[in-house]
Amino acid sequence: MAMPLKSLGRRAVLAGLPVLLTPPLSWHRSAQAAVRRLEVVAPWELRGLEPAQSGFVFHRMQIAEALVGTDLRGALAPALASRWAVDPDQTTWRFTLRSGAKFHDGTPVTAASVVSALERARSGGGALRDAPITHIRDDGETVVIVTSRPFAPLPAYLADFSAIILAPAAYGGDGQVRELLGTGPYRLSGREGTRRIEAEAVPEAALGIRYTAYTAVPEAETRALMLQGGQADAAMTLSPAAWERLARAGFDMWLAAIPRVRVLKVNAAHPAFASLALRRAISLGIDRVAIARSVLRSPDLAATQLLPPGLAEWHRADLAPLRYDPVEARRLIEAAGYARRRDGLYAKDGRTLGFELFTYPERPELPPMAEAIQAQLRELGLEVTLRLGDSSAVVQGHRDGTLQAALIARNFSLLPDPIGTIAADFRTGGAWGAMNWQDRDLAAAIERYESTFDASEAADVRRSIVALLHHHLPTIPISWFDHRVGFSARISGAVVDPLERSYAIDRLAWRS
Amino acid sequence: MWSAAARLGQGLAVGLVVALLCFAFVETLPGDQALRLAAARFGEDLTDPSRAELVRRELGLERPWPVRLLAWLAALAEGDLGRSAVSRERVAGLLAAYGARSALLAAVALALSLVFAVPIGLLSALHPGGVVDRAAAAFSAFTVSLPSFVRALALMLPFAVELRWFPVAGFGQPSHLVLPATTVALALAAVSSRALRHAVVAEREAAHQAFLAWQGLGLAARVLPHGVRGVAIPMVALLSVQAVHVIDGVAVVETVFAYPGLGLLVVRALLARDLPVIQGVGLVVGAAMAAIGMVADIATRLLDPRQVEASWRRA
Repeated sequence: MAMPLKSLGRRAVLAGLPVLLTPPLSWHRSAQAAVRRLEVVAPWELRGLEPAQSGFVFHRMQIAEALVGTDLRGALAPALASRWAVDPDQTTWRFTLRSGAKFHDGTPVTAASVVSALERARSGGGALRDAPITHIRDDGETVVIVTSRPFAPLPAYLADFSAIILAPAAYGGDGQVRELLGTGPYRLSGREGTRRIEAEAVPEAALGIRYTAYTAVPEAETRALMLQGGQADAAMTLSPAAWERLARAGFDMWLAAIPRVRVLKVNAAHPAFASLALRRAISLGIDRVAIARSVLRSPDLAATQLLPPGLAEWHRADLAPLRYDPVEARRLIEAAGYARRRDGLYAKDGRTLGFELFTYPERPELPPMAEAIQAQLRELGLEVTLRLGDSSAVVQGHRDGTLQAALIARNFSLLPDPIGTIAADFRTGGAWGAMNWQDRDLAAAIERYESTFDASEAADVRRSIVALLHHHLPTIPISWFDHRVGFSARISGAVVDPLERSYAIDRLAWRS
Repeated sequence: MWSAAARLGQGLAVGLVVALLCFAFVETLPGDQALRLAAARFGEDLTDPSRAELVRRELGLERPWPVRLLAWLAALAEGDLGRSAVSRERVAGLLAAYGARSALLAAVALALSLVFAVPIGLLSALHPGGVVDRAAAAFSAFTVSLPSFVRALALMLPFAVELRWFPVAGFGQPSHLVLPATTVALALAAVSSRALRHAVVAEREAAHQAFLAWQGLGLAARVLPHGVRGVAIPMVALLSVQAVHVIDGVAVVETVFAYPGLGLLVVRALLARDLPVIQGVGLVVGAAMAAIGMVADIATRLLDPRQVEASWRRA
């Protein structure tokens, strides 16, 4: 008897269900096995396998290493290179590789493979392309790097996550990374697109945590709830409200000051910022403590100078702190020839004193901070209009000269030494730094700092760089950053890297 | 057969038009696409004109737009949807992975919505204007007015955080689907329960039902072969619209639950101006919409013999 059409259809659907359901679930079939996995949740998803794009994830999860690393105080430390030194010519560096180091495919780490990886990093989009390297070569088990001029911060550039060293077999025929074969104590065991990676400890590493995973969770509240609900063991970059809630609930919460700063990037060719007096007036007209208290829930984050105390070498306690003083601000504005109108705004020669302030919502605290700055400066007597967009508009506006001012978040720990960012931003005015402003003394100081190998001379030059930036205000600091992290009670040994370069998973263990 | 082939062709044409519109949309956006892509690749801190030039040269963005469009069309003709401008992963692979998850979420959400909607709709229709009907109407209005992230948190907090019955967020296991699917299903059921209620009431009051009752047929004999069809026809149309909505537009739910579906993929691609991904999503979603429409039409024809007879008469 012929099967009725309806029955055939129903059976076909039932037969097809496992096929329909299999693809999205099969990735986690291995995870369904009973393994105790450390779950790390953070905002940033992978942007492919290229070190310049996603190296920060693999470095933080200790899957890949660079030649140079950092310790938990932020100081440079050996990684794949056990030691390094510079020749008397001060341009030839020699990095000795760690003995017995192997890639995750079992092949030994050789100077040749390191040279190949570094050449790739130089030609890519990472920080290494900004270092004045002329050539890199191997010399036995030593990697030799030659710079075009004495360049003391070179090891810091080699610590950049884009300079992680991968095995030759990691690259496909097209030169793209097709497999993440690093040298870290954990090796990549699974990846789901750009959202999740899983790793396991290499057999020879005696680690407290055997299996780990990193999941990109864009929403801060979701990350907090995952920690609270037991789905995550470490939650990065929590909001102040969620952090306080979890702290009250007894979770292991950490607050680390990190070298990221929210600053007002200004166009020094614009009338509102053309003179130092006006830049100082605007700085004096911003109540940073009020903004830090109301928006960031931490008045201590109000910036008193560019870099926070946590970067001890780059913070000068003897400098007069940036302060809120609207009386002095008005005096400076009036001394510059501006007169206050009946509407409360200052004007000169028929032109109102004011500017357009741009910011971006990719960092959610920036728009409300911009609104607060607008209100405070309005009270002072400046007309500030707000514009929102995406962060790349800051670079575009800098490039075409249309940017007037922008409230941005700037990371001074892109490299372990802030000089990398300072040089990019203030020597000739990088896209995120000074705009239409240069200072010969500052440029000279930066060059001296880069070329000196004498620690005490470097310390003196650092002090003068900090003082010059504080005095001239090419960018106006507003607030520093707190890095808010939470850990579950299931783990012990948690610690937070102030440079956000590692999650220090090798120090963790399960509580019995 | 010919009609099905024509509909299939129609679906692909719709997808292609959507993809071309996506191309035009991205091209007309202000700002530098290469800069935006550099920011997406390297992060805001490293975005600068030199890295934008790196991206521009690598992707050939300096070519005029007609050249780039023709190149994409030529690759599409060979079945190649290209690679993501950000991650360099194959667009086809991304669409398969994210699309499969969205399809799964959509299927589970629609099924769940019917589990909620059918009993509520039927109970409401039993006594139109009664207590149950009015309570259901109020519940529907309340649920529909709730933003999706509020619905999501309202489910997440008790069931995932406090009771730990389900994971808070993520993907990969069946349990990860429950809360996001329920979040979506509640909003769908709020609409479909009311639609079902109205359809049942209209069917009960229809002239042919009165005729069948006059003929002496009992309730089951009237409802099962005749009433169900009459109710199912508008419901199939509604479900097809809801299916399209779920596949295409639940980015907020996917973000809150960190569930990587098409909504999340397209939002990320739009922010980064990742044109190959945007076009790929446009193509697939456009074609999916047409396919869902075709399935709904076929289902309606199976349910409503009047449409089949009408098409025979036209032929």
